[in-house]
Amino acid sequence: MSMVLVIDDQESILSLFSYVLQDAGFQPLIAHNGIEALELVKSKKPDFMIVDFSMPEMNGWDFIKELNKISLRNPELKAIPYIVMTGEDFMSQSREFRFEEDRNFKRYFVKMTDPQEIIEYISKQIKK
Amino acid sequence: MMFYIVLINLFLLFSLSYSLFRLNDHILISLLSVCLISLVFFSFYLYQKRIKPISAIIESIKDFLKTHSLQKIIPMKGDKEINFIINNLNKMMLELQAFKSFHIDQVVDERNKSNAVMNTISDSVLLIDSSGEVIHHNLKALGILKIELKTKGFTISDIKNEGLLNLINDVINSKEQKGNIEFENKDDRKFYLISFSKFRIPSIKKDGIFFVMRDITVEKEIQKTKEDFFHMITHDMRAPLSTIRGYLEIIFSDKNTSEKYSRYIENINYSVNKLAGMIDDILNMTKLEGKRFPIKKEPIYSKELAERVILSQKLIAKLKEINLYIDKDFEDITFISDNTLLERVLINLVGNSLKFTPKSGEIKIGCYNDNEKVYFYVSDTGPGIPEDKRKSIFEKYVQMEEHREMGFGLGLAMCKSAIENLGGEIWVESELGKGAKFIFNLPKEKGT
Amino acid sequence: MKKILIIDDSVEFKEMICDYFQIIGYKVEKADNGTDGFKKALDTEKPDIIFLDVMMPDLSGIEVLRRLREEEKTKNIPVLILTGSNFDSNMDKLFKMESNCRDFLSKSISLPILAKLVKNIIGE
Repeated sequence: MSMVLVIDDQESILSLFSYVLQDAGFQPLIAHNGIEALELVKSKKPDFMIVDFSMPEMNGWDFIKELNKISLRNPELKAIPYIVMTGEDFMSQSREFRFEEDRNFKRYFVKMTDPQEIIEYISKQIKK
Repeated sequence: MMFYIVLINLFLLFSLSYSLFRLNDHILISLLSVCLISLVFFSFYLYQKRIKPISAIIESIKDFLKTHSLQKIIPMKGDKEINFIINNLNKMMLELQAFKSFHIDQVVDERNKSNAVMNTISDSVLLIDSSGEVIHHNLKALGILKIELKTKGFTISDIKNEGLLNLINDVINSKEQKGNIEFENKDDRKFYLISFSKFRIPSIKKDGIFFVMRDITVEKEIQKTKEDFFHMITHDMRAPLSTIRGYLEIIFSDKNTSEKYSRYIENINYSVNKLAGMIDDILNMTKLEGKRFPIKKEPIYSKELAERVILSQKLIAKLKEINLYIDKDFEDITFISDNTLLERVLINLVGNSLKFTPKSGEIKIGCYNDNEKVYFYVSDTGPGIPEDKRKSIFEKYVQMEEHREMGFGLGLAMCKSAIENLGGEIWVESELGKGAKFIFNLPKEKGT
Repeated sequence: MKKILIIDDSVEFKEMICDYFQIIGYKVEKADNGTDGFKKALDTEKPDIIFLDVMMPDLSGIEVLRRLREEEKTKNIPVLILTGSNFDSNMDKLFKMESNCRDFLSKSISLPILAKLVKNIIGE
């Protein structure tokens, strides 16, 4: 079963995605912040990631940068495709955070998009 | 599955009733027992797969409606249809929960942003509704209004700064929708500019008033220093100037003065008067700008005023061969205003026209009135003023490129300031190549 | 010939008034301060009109004005206040409250206009 890692500081978002992912046949992994997420990536090696952009302390961008640094040092960590969840006003800040330049980045989704839509997209990207 | 059980039971029941009439006791009893047992299983099944899960659903919904948060996911222990309901119900509740906390986050975020702005700006901000309740404020406002920090809401009766409380009450009671008021705060001896604006607060369906209080002490001080400076310089210039004029008059009046010298005196007189006028204009300008000019209220006779003005400029007009006269439809009107100021305005306008009208030109002064206002105009046959400059020429230090060398451009600005202080308006009608007509009006004092 | 008494601490101003009004046919007496002025007002040859300054070192203009009004011999002499400061409506009202004050004027008033006023009050 494919593993999908969800990183978000809001507990209710984690519960929601956990449930719908399971329901769709994926195994959800949840992380409340970048640190937890990095641990899970190293230990469980997920197949896909849903990354929340706006988290306190370490935001989505910082997490991806850190992950890329670690991947360089540990080549056995395969490239993990991911999507980024952003707020409505993200587009004005996006100049600073060019996820498009990262090869594992797939696309943005605005919060709160229907989770069903997100799951359908993920299903097209990886097999169950 | 249930369907088959029901079918079997029905079949058995049917065969039973059929057999009742035919078969012996043993078969009857065993058939009956099979029926009974399957009935028990059926009930058990019904209970587990439908009734219990539905209770769980109902419990969960009740809980959720109370708190909008899902403590536990409903386990999918029912039959296929019930499980479908449970699954989607779980999804809906989880989504609702996520939505709620997301939006709360957003609101808190926005509020924090606006609070950060409100508490960083150095102005005091206050929003009250029409009944005097304080809806919004920043920390600075509490300080200046002298409101003690309370946990509950404030009303304007908590304002301990009497002066400001009176001002706020005046604004509440006035019909003005917005405005600016200068206020001297007795508590800290500082000057504030209080800007207010009235509007409707949609959420509570009440009228609200928004106040911003800015510390303008420094600006006022600068303005005063500027005024004092100008005043000091020009005031001391007046006395010697008066003496010069006085002696010119004396020489002029002396019977022994020859005609030749009389002419010289006239020329000196004109320039001295011009100098005195310029000094007066500078002196007056600072007061006029600060709206602190003490306006005299005296009777003005329009024809006499115009004649006086023409007299003072007739020398130059003669030298330039310009015809300076009173327009034929000139109305001789008596009204109340400030004589000195009006004289300065007309002299400035005529002087301006004299500067720019070429030889053999014409300048005429006119006057007319309607029910509410008195109008004066100075019309010339000069080069005229292009449309895009018609407003800006009344600004300080603005001059048209072509006329750079001629004077320091204070005259028209002073006229505008003076007329505005007198409650009137001034403007120019002109077409390039067809001369200019400067017009101003003044309100007629009630009772004239 | 009508007589003008000018009470003012400015030498140049007194000089100018003297020169001018003499040319147009008046007699002019000069006083340097309030006390001197009041004394000269009580002269046997009373002035027909008094020009009075506002700011003087010993007695101020308002004090002189009041003394002149209170004194029997001088209360009917018309007084013209000539001030070197800008027009102040409060001052104006204050001085005009005294019955002997005829007008409150600026020292930079043109001489012919001043002469006209004097002529209206006391003749030539």
